[in-house]
Amino acid sequence: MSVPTATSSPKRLKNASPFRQTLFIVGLGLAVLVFFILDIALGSVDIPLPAVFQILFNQDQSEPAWVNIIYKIRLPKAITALLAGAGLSVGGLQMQTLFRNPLAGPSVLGVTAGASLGVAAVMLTGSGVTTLYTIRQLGVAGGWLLMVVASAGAALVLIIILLVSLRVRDNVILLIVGIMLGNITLSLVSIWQYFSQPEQIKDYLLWTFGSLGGVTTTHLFAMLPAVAFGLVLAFFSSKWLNGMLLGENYARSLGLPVYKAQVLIITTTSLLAGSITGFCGPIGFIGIAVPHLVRSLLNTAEHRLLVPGCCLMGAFIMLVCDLISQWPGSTLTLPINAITALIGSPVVIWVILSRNNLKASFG
Amino acid sequence: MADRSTILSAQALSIGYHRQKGNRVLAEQLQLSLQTGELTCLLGVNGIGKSTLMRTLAGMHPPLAGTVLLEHANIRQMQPGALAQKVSIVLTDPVTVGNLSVYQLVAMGRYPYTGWLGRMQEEDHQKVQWAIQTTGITPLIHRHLHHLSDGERQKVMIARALAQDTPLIFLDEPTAHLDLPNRMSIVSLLREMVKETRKAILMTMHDVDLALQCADRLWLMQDQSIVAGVPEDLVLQGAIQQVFQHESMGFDITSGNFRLRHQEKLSLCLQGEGEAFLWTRRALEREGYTVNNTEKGTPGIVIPPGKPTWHISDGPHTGICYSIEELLQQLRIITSNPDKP
Repeated sequence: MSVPTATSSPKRLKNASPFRQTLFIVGLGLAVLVFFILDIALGSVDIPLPAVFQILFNQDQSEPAWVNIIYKIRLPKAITALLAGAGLSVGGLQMQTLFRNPLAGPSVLGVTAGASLGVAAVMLTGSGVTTLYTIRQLGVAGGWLLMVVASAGAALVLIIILLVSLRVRDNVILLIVGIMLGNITLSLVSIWQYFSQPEQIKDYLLWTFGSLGGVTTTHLFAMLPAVAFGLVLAFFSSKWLNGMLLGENYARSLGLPVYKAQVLIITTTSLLAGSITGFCGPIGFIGIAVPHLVRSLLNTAEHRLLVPGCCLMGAFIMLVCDLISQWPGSTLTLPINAITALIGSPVVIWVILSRNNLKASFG
Repeated sequence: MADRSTILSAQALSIGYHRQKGNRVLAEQLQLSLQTGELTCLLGVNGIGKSTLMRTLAGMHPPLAGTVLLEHANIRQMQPGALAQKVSIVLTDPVTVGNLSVYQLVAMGRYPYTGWLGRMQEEDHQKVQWAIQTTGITPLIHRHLHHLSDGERQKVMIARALAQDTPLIFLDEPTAHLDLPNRMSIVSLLREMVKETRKAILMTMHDVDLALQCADRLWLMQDQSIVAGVPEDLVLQGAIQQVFQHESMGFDITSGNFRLRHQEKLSLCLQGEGEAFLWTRRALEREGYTVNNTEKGTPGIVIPPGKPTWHISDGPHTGICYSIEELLQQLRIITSNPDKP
C-alpha cells in the first residue's frame, strides 16, 4: 500500500446528499412561513386573509378591532410559538448530544421541573405581590424576573446533573438521576403549593397547563432576545457539539475545550428552556421528539445542519399544534401542552417505526 | 529524511489515580522516550495500566508525579488546540453515533485546524482524502458509522487520526476484535506510515507475535515499571518471557511464539525434515508428547522424503500412516497399552 501525496487525489470525495438536505431545509422554511401566516389568519374571530395581509403590511386601520386582534393577540402568539418551538427543540438537541442519550431532553432531565421550581418560588411566595397577575402587569421588568428565576431553576438542576456526571460516566444512570432530580423538584413545588393560598395555586396551575397566548408584546421584548441569543449560541457551538458526539475523550483529543463546551451547552439549554418555560409553562414532548425527527429526516449528525433544522421543525410543529389547540371557528382553546404530546407522539412513533434508525442515533 | 529525534519524553513519571485514601499508583519513576520514525509497542497483561500510561503521555490524564515533555514543552501546560495539532489518539472507547457518515467522521480530524464553525478549506479536504485513501476506506465514505464492521470502524478511526496530521499518534489496542487479515493490514499500514511520514506511533497490543514482528521498540510493562528495548534484545534477555509468565503457556524462543504448555505424557523420537516435520511436531506437542530426534528406543516416527507418510516403529511393531490424524490415533493405541509387547 503506497501513501499518495495529498495533491494527487484522483477524484473529489464529497459528502453525501447535500442537495436533498438543502431542499429539506428550504422546504421546511417555506412551511414555517405558510403556517406562521395561517396561525395569524385563523382564530375564533373570522378575519379574511386579504385583510390580514393588509393589516400586517399596509397598516390598514379600517377595522380597529381586527388590528387589535392581530397585533395584540395573534402576532405575539405566533411569534411565541415560533420561538418556543425552535428554542425547546434546539435545547433538546443539545441535551441529547451532551448526554449522548436519545431519551434526554429538557423535560426528561428535570430542566423543566427546575424552571417550574423557579416560577413557583416567585408565584407562591407568601407576600402576594408577585402573583401571575401582578407579574403580567409589571410588563418587561416582571417578564425578566419570571424568566431569570425560571432559567436559574433550570440551570440549578442541570448543574447538579453535571456535577453527578463528573463522577458517573454511565449515561443511563445519569438519565435516571436527572429524572429523580425532576421528581424531587416537583415534590418541593407540591409541598410549597400545599402551604400556599388558593389564588396563588390557581395562578401556578394555570401556568403549568402551558399557554402561548399569555405572552404579551411586552413580554416578547424579554423573551425574543433571550431565545434568539440562545439559538445563536447553539449554532456557534455546532463544532463543539459535533465533537461531543464522539465522547469526552475524543473531543479532548481533537483540541476541543470540553469543560467550556459543557458549560456553554448547559448555559444555553437553561437559557432556552428556562425563558420559554417561564413564559409559556412547561411544554413537553417538543424538546425530545423534534431532534429525532430532524436527525432521521436529514440523515446526518452534523450540528451545523441539525441546529437550523431543529429550529425550523420545532417552529413548524409548534405552529401546527397552536392552530389545532384553538381550532378555527371555535372559541375553545385547549392547553398547548396536551396538544403537542397528543399530535406529536404518534408522528414520532410513525417515523421511528418506518425508518428504524432512532436507535442508531446513539447506539 | 531526518535522523530519528526524540519527540516525546517522560521524566520521573508516576502514573495512576488520585484517591481519597492514598493514591493508586500504577507505575513509578518512568523514564521513557518516543522517537520519530519509530513504531513502539506497549505490551503488558490486562489491568497493568497500559491505557492509563497512554492517556497520561497524551496529556489527557494528569500524572501523579514527573513530567511529560512534548518537543520540550510540558504537555500539561499546552493549550488543547495546540496539543491536538501534535498528538492524535485512537481509543478503545466505543463510538456509537448514528447518522454520522464516514467522511464526516474522518473530517472531524481537521477540527484543530478549522475555525469556530468547523468550516473546511481546500487543504483540509485534501488531508481528509489522503487519510481516506491511505487507509483504503474509499468504498466506505458514504456509509454510516453504525453500519460498519469492527475492522472497518477501526480503520475509519485510524483515518480520523491520520487526518489530524500529527507527528505523534497513540493507538490503544487498534487490533482488538479484529480477524487476522484485518490485524495484519492495520499493522502494515501503521508501519508504512511510520517509515514514510516519519511519524512516531505508540500502540498497545495483546498480540505478542505481531508486536515482535512489527515494532521498532517494545515497552514491556510489569511491576510498576517499564523495560524498553528492541524486541529481539528483550527476547534474548528473557524479558518477554517474564512479563507473560503463566503456568498454561511457555515462550518458544526459536519461533518467537507463545505455546500452550501441555501435560507431557511420553517422549517420542521424530525424524524427518521440511514442513511435514514442523507440523507433525506441533501436532505431537499439542497432544502432550515430548519430541526429540536423537533418542532411540522410544516409539519412533520417521517421515521419509516425498509425499508425506509417517512410519511408526515401536519395538518390533511397525506401521505406516497417511495422515497426521491417523498417526495420532495409532499413537493413542500404542500409549494406552504400554505393556503390549
